Amino acid sequence: MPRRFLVSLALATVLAAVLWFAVRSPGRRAASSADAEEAPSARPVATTAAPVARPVAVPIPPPPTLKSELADILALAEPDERFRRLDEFWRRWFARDREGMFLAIAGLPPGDERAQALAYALPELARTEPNEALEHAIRLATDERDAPVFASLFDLFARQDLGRAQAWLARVPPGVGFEPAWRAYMDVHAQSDLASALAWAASLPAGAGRALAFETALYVQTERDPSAAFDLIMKNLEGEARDRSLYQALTRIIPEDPEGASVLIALMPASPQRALAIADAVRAWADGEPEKALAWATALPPDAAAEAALAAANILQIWARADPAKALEAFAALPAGQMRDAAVERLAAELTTASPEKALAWAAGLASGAEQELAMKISVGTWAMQNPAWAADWTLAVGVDPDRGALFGEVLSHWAVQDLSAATTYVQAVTDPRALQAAAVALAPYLAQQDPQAALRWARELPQAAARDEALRAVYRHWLANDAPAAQAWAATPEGRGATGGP
Amino acid sequence: MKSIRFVSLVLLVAALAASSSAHIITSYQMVLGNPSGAGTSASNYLIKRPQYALGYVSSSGIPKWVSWSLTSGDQGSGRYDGNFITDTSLPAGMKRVTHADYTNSGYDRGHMCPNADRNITLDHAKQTFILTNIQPQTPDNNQGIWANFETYCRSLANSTGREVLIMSGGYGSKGTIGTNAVTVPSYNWKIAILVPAGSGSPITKCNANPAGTRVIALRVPNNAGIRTTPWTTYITTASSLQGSTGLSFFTALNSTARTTLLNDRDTGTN
Repeated sequence: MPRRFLVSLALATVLAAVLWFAVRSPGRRAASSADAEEAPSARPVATTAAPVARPVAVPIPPPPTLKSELADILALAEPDERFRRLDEFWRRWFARDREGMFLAIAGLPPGDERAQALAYALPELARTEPNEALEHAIRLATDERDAPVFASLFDLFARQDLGRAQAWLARVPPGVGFEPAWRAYMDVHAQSDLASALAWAASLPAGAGRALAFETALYVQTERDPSAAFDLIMKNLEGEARDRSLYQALTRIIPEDPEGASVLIALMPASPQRALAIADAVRAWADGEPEKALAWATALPPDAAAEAALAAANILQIWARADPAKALEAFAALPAGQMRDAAVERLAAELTTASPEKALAWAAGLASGAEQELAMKISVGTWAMQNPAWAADWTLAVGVDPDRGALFGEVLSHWAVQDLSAATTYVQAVTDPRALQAAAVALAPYLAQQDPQAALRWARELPQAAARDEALRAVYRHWLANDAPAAQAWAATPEGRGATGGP
Repeated sequence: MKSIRFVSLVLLVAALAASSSAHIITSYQMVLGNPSGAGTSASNYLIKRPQYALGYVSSSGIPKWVSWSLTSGDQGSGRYDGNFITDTSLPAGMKRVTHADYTNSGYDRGHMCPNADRNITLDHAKQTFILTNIQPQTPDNNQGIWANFETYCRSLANSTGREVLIMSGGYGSKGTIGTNAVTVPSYNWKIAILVPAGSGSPITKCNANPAGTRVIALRVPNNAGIRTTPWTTYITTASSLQGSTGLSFFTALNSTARTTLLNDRDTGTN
């Protein structure tokens, strides 16, 4: 027994050693034990490979079972299920045979599935093998959709070793990975040592890297001292990067000190971001000092006339919430023009939200016909969002001259969004010809969107000929946009020719 | 002044109750359509609130999409400082995600409909903290690029005076967090439609003037390292997002307008 036991032990030891060497063999890494369980007979053998200087580079096709499983998952039509299964699948494959997994990823077309695989596998690999992960990223992440993985990697690299990550930036070739790599690295650098990051950015030669480094470091500066950042941005950045960075700084200053922000805004070059900053600043300012905010807005330079008009509108909107009477007084003092026009809309909406009757009374009292019409339209439309039946009753009751007809259409358009059935039922009882026509034009597109034939039937049942024709034409126009052949076929019928004026 | 028989009609409206905001109304939160045809199924469950509408996926514990309307009138200073709120309106048997599911997960509780889009009152703001309106987001995404684009959308509404119709969601999978196995999406997406000026509802305006309707579609990787990246880097088309998510956007619009909006690629400047 002891001899038999010793022989068995010796054989087991030899067998274990053979297995250990087989598993450790570089050429066989991809066909590891987990895959062997899946398909032992199909395991590829890397006997034909050229002299192996770098074992990782030897291409070994994935085992057929995993490949076929991948194909099955990729064929799933439901995206949520496909992505969930893929996530589980890549994790499993990575744990068993990461080289085989990267080979499979390389065979995928660019898109969400490939990007999801890289987004999981590369950072996972980078935790222990950062150099290898970067090599894979440079080789595989070449599509725009894959690019964010460079952000993940350089965020991780910079946290692992800032100096090494900085040196590795030079390895990222121009292309999709360049910008995310630089931004991610620089964010970590600036958060850990802002002064050093700014000094490093300043030491870089002019070029894309320098611009990205400065913009990112200054972003961090905006979080720590936005006023100081504002000056640095003006000195060091240009174009869109400057404008968006200035706006970023201002979004931090405005909530705390809108008046201070207004001084900085005056230094900004004209840009879309300046328009945003002006609106944000005056809203914050109007919360406490609307008079001062309005005085500032009305004094903006001529090249900011449009922004000034919208600033006044924002100020009066905020002011009207707290003190409608004062806001209306201030509005009345505005000169005619762009500023008043913009303010009418906001005031009408704000006043109606609080009290439709007061808003309509104010609108009716406006001296200018154009202002009155605009205020009425906004007010009635806002009211219709809250209570369309009441708004419809009111609009009909004030009379349906051409303007009131438009107002009724406004109400019906909003009612259709809320309850199309109730709106169409209401219209059946309308007798005023102008109101009925306006209602027909407003409702027909909503009905036609659901069912053109049903919309035609509804139009045919309208009690007045003019409204019927208007409704049929409106159904036709909408139908034409959705299904031109069907709409044109109807237009060729006697009814269609009559309604559309066709031959 | 035109022939407005106004004065006698003031009484007609005098009894109306005021509302806190014109647009924070249930029927206005998904005017461009129901992108997943959500209904009563646990895998595609429709929730409609005055503040937003959404399609919830019980198995993943996150919304497939959330939709809302944003105007300058919806923004104020209401502030909710409590915990995130489990959605107890979900039917029995559906996954009810808790605040604790996200705790120590490494992911933020990322609002889809943001608090600041609904802070005209405290109560409206509070409703955005219900966990069916939340997805796991990396801090770099949630506190960086995502927050910056949220701010941009509000500024856009304020600086133009126009309505912004917004949808957002996530797709892909980066595993799960918490005892309720909440799916972490690989990407977050967002579509903001700047409704053109004109008459009528937003649908009427977009149908009438699709070329004048601005569409900003973003596909944001739910990664680390993107905190300071400008949101313009991730501009895409709504059509591309449809391909990724399997959703159908803008179904309330006519085909011509819908096609225009789906394929419009924004330049990133207002």
